[in-house]
Amino acid sequence: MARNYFELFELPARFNIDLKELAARHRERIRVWHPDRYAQGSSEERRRAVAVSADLNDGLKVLRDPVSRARHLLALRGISTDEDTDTSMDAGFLMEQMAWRERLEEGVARPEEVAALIALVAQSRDAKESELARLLDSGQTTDLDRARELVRELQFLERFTRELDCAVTEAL
Amino acid sequence: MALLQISEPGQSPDPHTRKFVAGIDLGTTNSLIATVREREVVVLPDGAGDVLLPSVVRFEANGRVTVGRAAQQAEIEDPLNTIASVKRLMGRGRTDVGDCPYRLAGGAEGMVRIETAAGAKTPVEVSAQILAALKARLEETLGGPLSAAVITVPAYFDEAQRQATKDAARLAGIEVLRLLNEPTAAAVAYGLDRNPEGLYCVYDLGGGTFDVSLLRLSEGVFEVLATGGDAALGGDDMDAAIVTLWTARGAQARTPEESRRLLRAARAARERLSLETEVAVDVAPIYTGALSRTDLEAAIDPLIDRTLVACGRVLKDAGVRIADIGEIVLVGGATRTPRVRERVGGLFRKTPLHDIDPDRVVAVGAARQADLLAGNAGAADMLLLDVIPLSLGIEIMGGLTEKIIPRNSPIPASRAQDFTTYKDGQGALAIHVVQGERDLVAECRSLARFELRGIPPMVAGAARIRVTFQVDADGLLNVSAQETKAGVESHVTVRPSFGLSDAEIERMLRDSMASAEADAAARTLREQQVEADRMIEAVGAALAADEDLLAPGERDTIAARIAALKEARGGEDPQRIREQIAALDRASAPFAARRMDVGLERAMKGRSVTEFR
Repeated sequence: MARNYFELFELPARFNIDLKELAARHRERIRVWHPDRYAQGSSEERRRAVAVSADLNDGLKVLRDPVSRARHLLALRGISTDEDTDTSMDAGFLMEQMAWRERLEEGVARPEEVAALIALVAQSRDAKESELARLLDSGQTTDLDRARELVRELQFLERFTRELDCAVTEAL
Repeated sequence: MALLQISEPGQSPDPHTRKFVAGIDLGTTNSLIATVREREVVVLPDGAGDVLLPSVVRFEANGRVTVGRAAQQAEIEDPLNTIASVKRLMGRGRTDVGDCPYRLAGGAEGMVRIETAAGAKTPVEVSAQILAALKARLEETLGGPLSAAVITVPAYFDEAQRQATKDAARLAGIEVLRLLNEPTAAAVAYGLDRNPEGLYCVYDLGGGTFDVSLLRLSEGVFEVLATGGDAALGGDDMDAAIVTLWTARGAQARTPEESRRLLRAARAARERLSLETEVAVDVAPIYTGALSRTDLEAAIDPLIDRTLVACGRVLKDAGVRIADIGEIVLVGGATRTPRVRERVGGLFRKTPLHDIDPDRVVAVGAARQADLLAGNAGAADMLLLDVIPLSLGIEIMGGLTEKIIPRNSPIPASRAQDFTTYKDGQGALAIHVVQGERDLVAECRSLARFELRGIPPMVAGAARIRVTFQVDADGLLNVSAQETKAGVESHVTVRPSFGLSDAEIERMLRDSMASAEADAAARTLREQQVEADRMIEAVGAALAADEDLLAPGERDTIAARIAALKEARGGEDPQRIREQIAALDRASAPFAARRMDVGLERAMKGRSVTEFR
């Protein structure tokens, strides 16, 4: 069974969470569990402090990012997103990706074109995240396949966003 | 939880059983020890009143070892047995070290050794002598044993260098409470002193290392947001740059002794130029002349440029704008140089803080942290949350690095990643752990290799091997691997393998932006090769599977293209490989179209995303 990071922070297992609350709970817990608090402790205590603190830091990282949070929620419901092994994607999505990549290749030297693409991708990400929130927080388990697909697509968009960031940096 | 030691009212702890904890700044040029007494930090001086212990150790043939100023005085007469700046050799292999004023020994593996009149010494042993001298200073001054210490290391120290520092402490008989990053220690010293909440940027230019860290202080928590730097850049390089200038003006050092004299004169001139605008230089008969501030600035500006680039990258990593930064803290003797202050101030548009002595500030912060970790009553209630400076990863197919824990992840950190087997019945899996930011394994620092054996026979891809990386609060790594279906476990404590030259490390540590171009070229070649292999295999498999769909003569045309691609793949030109891939693609397109007609639906659905790249 996958580690449940929502339990770790005593937060409801939902896609829409309060990030400030998450940060506050992480801090509250790390204050108690950090290895510095156990510098005089037994080796077992120190080992445990390292393990729990690492877990808290890892949990914060997983829950802070919307895509990894959604992936975690799906894993908790027994659905793996298999990004590494399963490369099949919706044909329409792939066509759109291909078109965007072509636009980037052709427009890489023009900042306004890159900016337009960034806006477009951000819009697409927002829409997908809203849809994910609806699917994951509805309390029903009907369309988790769609949620899985959205996570996989968002992963793509994340990578593309990084490439766009690089294009912006290079242009400077 | 640490227990607070509370004395009964009216009774103080017995001075003879009292144990002391300390903060130690083990520096490239100088080292210091500090401790908290009556809630105040005291930096302990030697008998002559000096708090700075020069990090110089002399080994004589009769076995006598001298440390500090006495050793420094022998530097000129006995240059090969008097070791300075040993910190630069910590955690390094023989092949890592380029120009060095000592006789070095050591093979391809293991840490470099320095040949002295008293035999070969590792940098760990040399450092241990410095630590032992500081320990003795504390015990003589306070009249009790030193029980444990916080020892500072540059934030940018890698695994091998951290481990070497810890080993040196063990050799000197000091229990390490924590390895603390130097800029973090400096921020603690300033933060606890004044307590303004907000963002701190610590610029730490020491004798041999440069670090920059960005921290946020709020509600008693110091959180490092990002760190960066260069583990081989410091005041020593400024001195070398001055010597290069003098050499261009006719200076000529013929012996190690003479080089040493020139370097010392350069350092002295640089230090005097902090107050004067021009100094006379007399290192007769090697060189006589003058050095002006303008000369100095021209010589060191390229080095300062490198530090400023690193500052920019740290800001970017943390997603922080220059205007958000509350305080700039200067640390390290080299920040006394007015040009450094001027340029750092220029970048951040703010006057940097340097009112805590830049030589002492790290030791002061370390002493505070030691006091806290020892659970002493009245210690400040604060918590330090630090990060790992360099990404940790493993080698994947094609000699590429897969990052497991990215740089600037908070520590302690752990991350599990699943891997699978590549062949049917594969019984073992080799894991190569590397550290660095580059895409190619060959350009990262090799940390360790280990094998997971005894994987039960399964078809390729069926095994689930979970590799767990754990980084502790000292920034040290532990790796374990487990096959989750059969429960085979393999453990490894990372013992570094020192594979890189100094130049390579410098390159690795330098701004990855600066090296992105070369990286991209190598990566492109690798990608094209992988793509070529994939293509050759795919077309070969198609030929074997659907022979009946081939048109007359088509097999020969395709076979010729495959041969041409194989030939190009063996070369170094990604463009040629790309062209041959395209040629094979064109030659096999009609055949592929026929195959697709046969199985269109399946082919569309299963179409791999990589084809769209």
